[in-house]
Amino acid sequence: MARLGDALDDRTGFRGPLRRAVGRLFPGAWSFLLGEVTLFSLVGLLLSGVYLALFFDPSASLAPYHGASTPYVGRTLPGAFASVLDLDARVPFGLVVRRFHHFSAHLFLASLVAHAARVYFTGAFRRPRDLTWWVGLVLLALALINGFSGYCLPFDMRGGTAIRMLMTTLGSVPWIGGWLATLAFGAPFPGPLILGRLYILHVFVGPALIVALLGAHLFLVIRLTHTDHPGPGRSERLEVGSPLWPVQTMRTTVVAFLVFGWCALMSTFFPVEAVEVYGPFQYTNAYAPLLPDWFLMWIEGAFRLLPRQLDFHLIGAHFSNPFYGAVVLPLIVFGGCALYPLVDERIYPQPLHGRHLLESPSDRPFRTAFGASGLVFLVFVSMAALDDRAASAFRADVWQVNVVWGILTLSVPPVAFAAVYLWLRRRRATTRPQTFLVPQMPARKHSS
Amino acid sequence: MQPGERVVRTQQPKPGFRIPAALAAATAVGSTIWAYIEYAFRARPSLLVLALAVVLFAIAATTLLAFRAFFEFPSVQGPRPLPVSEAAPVVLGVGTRRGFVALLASAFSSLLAILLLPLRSLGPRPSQVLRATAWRNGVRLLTADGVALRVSDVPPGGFTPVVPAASPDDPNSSAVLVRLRPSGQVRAYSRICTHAGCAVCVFMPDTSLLVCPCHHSTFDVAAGGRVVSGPASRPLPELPLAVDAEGRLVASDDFEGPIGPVAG
Repeated sequence: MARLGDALDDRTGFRGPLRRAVGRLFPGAWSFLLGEVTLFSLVGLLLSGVYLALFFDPSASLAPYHGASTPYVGRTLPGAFASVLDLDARVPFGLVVRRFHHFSAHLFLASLVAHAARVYFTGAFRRPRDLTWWVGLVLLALALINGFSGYCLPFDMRGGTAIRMLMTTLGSVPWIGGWLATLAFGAPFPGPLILGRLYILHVFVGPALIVALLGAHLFLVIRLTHTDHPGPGRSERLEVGSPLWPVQTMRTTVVAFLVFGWCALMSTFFPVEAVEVYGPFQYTNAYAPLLPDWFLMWIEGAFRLLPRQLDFHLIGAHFSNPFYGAVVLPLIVFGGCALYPLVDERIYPQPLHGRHLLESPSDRPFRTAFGASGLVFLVFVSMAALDDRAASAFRADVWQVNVVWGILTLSVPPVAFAAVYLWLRRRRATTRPQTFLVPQMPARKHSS
Repeated sequence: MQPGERVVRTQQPKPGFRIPAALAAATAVGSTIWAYIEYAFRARPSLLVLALAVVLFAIAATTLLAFRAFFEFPSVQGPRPLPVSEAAPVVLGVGTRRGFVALLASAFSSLLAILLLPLRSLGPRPSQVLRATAWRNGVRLLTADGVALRVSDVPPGGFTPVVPAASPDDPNSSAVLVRLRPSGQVRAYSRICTHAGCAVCVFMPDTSLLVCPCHHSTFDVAAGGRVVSGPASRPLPELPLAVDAEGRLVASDDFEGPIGPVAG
């Protein structure tokens, strides 16, 4: 073993980096593990995704089905849908691996959002970590896009409708929309090409970009060291934490197995994305309620909420509801997140080398109020996708529900902002600031 | 541990892991019970995967317990990176060699431009894809089963999806034939919603309204497809109808407007 290590070290010089890696420090608070949950759901996604790709046929061409899913035998089905049916009914473990893939995807996105919220509300995005934040935002966008292309692929009623929304969205971009839509689809909707193109995006381009950017993200985290909550023994000058071996290795192992265990448990019992129930996509058909996955409900909600009176023509271009909902709104949300570190720097100016310790959300009224109102807005827009259910529950027309909900969606976030801001301002003025007595460490020099 | 680092006992006796472990366990137990009650009798649960889940949780718990038995949780100090704003910029050799840098930049940008050209081959012109339909003067209206329709085939208040006899599988030509209840009038409209392109496949005969189930755009059949409510901003294009010598319904022209969502 030692000889093998010597031989490898001769060629790679791995022992130096390994020695440094073993001593890397990690903070103890549990909220720092949300990023690890994201990391391990990605591992689960990649492994289960490779397995699924071995069985999937990204074809929209119709053929009589003679496979193992009895209710569909004899029907004419698209190739993609038929291959998913066979995966579920004939391949041992196929159904469960497909569900595992779904739950990993949901957990991936949920933990990504939670991780981003933790970073935002504690001020961990401040320079020099703003670059890490921006890389993370691109990762979130890629994750959303890959989640979308993923649920398109089975070409069931839900997936096909999502592909239709994709063509509409591309087509709705002013001036260049027609070209975007035709270059993406290569034929009238749905056409024979789009599934194969989405498949390559989903299994190769998306994952490759995600893994590459994740590498950049982790490199930055290592290079800049972890942030930490202020407290006894904590200072800007020194990092305090537990080393990678053995403490963080133990925590990481536990996180990994909890993530895999949760996904396995859920895929045992919970028939997520039951394409057998939705049926194959038919362009002559649609049904309600047909909703996207939760992480795209905000776009679906905007489609329903934005009134048609906002549509207008300008120099040969048409600005329409799908453009506002699926292009402008995401640009505003992601643009706001991307620009926020620059705004924050103006509001809470700080010396460059004093930003390793996190800030309490209650000490930063504007930041907290802005983030909270943004989240409230996104939740309200997402809930607009349930307008038909609300309408039947309240025995009202859908448009009436949308008028009321649209007014609430525009008015509640500013109210939430004002309420949180004023409350935290008052709180900061009336309560004494939380100061920690930082014990003075004996002076010592660091040689790197 | 790096030379110069030291172990510091801070006042942190409890590891920071209890809360997430408790949360994860609670989630696991709760979702198990809930999912079981909700779905066990509809889906076929795979006991093997359940066993796998139990094993994975057991590994997690064992790792935690074993660690707590064998190790303490020491806190260690290490240096933070310092801002490097004072560092000198990278100098590329002697002098700036601007001409050479400009040459490199133009070479790579023209290479990129050449590489972008094949993108044009991804699809045809938009006019051939987004708007073209198979409806012309004299094209018969077929049901999904291929039957050429007469007016009397549709009862008042009834509606049926129709396709052009010339090209029954063309998605852009998909239409819906409606017979209004009070007047007995027959009218046909594009089946593709002008909002986002879903199939307009719900008809409410009492009010003569066609509804798209995706986002609830509602069109008035008696008023030329006018938008009544919902996010669509353009009327549903109507298909002008006639009756041929054999009494079958035919189109007398293409749709009266561009079909589908408006391109931007």
